[in-house]
Amino acid sequence: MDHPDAIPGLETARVMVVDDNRVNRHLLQAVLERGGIQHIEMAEDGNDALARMDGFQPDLILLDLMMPNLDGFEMCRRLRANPVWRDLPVLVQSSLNRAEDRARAFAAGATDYVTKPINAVELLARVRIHLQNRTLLHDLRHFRQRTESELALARKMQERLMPAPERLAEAEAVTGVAIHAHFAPSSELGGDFWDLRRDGRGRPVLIVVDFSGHGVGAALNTFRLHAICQQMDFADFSPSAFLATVNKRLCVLLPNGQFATMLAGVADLAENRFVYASAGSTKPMVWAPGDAAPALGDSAGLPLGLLSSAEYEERSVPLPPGGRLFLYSDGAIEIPVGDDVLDEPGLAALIAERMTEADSQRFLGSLLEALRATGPIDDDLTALLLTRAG
Amino acid sequence: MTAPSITDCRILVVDDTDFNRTLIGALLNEAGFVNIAYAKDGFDALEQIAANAPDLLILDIMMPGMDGFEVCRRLRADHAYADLPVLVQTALSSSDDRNRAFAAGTTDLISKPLDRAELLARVRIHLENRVLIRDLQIYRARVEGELAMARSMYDHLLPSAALRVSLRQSAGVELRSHSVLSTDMGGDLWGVLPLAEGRFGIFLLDMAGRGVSAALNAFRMHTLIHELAPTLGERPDAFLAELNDRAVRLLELGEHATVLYGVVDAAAERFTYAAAAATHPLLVPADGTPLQTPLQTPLQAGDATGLPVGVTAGNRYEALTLPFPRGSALALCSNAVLDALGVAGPRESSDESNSGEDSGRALADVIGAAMEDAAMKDAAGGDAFGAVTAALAAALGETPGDDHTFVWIERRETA
Repeated sequence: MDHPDAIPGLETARVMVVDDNRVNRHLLQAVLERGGIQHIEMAEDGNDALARMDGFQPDLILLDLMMPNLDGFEMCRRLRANPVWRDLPVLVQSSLNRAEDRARAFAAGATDYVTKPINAVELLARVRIHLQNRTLLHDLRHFRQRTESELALARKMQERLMPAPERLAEAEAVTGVAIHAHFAPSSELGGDFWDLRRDGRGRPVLIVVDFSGHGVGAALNTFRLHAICQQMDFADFSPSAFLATVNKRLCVLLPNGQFATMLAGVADLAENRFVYASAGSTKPMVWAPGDAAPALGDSAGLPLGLLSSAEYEERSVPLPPGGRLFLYSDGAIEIPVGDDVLDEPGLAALIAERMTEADSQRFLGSLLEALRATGPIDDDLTALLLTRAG
Repeated sequence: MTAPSITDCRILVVDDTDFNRTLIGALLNEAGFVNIAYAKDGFDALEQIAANAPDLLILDIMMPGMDGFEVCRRLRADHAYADLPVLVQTALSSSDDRNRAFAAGTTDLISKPLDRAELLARVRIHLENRVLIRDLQIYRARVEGELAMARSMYDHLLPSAALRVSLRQSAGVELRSHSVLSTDMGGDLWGVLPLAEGRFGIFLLDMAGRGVSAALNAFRMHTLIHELAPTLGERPDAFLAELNDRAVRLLELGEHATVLYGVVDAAAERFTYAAAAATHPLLVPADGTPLQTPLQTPLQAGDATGLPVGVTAGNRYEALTLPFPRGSALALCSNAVLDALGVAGPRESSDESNSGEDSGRALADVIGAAMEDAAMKDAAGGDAFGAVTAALAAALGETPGDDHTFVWIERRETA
């Protein structure tokens, strides 16, 4: 089938010719074959064509308009009513050449229109354009479908790394500390991770992690970190020792240039404070009933994965009965505002405006709404609110 | 997928006649298109396109200076504009001229005098198509970028060239490997854990499933393996038992792995390993044939097949030892390699006692045939590794349905 006019890559294309005139059908078949198209189906009218659609699965239809039984206009309309064929290229070939006829054909869903007598070169040029376009669309859609389902599965796995609602409820019942969380990767997957544990004395332990980068690569790192945390003994939890150990283990695994910020802390209710260590995390914010604005804790510290001998400082912020602690990934403060970013003071101001909201879910919802109204959030965003019973 | 919004698309109208530009602009405006630019000839058009690429070009053919044919040709010669829809408006009705327009790369022709309904129908079809494709292309570029980044992290887990050189020097062992992933990411992983006195551990892991989710689990398992290496690296049976217990706590139902872990001890001339539902290693002696499968001596059929890792806690695995003299080689492969070569035994069957034997023999047959073939062609020494990878490539074609890993560990004749 080595024709001079052969269209490369179209050997597998399937074209259906719909025409009530046998001579026309054979003429069109000859033209298509000259163009290198090998899979051609013939139909004698609209009904015949519709009946053959499922069996032949065409990539393109060459459609005559004036036919007995079911004409081209009506056939095209019926075809478009089926979502399967919504994007199928339908190239009308007709001796009707008035503007009204063309307009009617396009209104019925035709993709393109050529007039008889057929100009073989033009017909093949248009067939090629539509088929190439369809192939491109098909490839792009196929890629999207495949990766979307793959990433959706991975997304579910990532969500399961975080504590289930039952675990949070159980911890609240025992400790009187409630956790409400918002987790939103910037794409399907992300580099944020958080967890709630209990130490040997039953005290709630919180860790919040933000890996460099986002997407699948950053997510791979959250799974590694989760595996490391699973191996750790929380019985004698010490925030600074915990960070130093996790850092050592991550340094072995992370490639150059990748790192994570992390905050690990324990709610020491007997002492009315939250004791924590930070590996370059954002500043924790705390407030007690009656406060006018949140207080910011210090969070200086070397991010994880950079230097295996790094040491971390233990710090604390007050956490009296009724007090709240707010932890967040840097997606919450790097929202662009004019030439600058929101930053910690901006976030603190947004919190101050709504800190009298007693319902934690509503507080988080309202804060996130305010953040989205501030500007585009194009990073992973995790927000955690710890509320100590009053 | 959201319906593409086309009215914001940028349309460049190229015509040397003021009246035509105004008319086309008015028709487009009336139909809701708001982003319209105008060029009065070919040079003007190319300049404007370079400065701010449109989504659609409406192009007149007969223009002074540079005509529409030439504009079209120049655009198509530039890869950046290969997909730009070019709608040529022409009074030319001769077949030759129409053919010339298509040969120059036009996407569509509309005849002058312009018909309003037809012009708008054509503009809409091309723009809808353009927006649809552009959205899909943006999605693809983003996800491909993410996957490429993830893939480079995956590649980073595999033994580096420097590590292979150091094994050659410290243990006199040559490592070769061949991996085929079914998609951008996969659940197959292998690696080396350097141990004391020239010994090293080697693992081959095959996570259930494929794609990104299998890779996420492979990264978890890799983390566990590295956590265990310092304490249990010398004891394959205890290593797998502990790995299994930890994996059970980490993995969910349906997520499990087949694992082979072994210690290469060149000084003692042996390879000690344990297997969790993994294909047995195969010893290929120095003279190539006859092959000695681990199942003939010293092992009995069914030994060490074991349960996969990550399903139930408390599994016990047995440590098995193969001789590993100078000049011989060990072949390790994921179960899928045997499946692909079309020689796999009933690996998934409930007849556990049989599957190990069949798998071992199957790989032996493949390598045996490969080496015999090489010998008949008088190929120097016979490249069994190359033969297996070639057979695998031939069996898999361009779209492998699973991840495949094949590792070849060869002890050099001289240290």
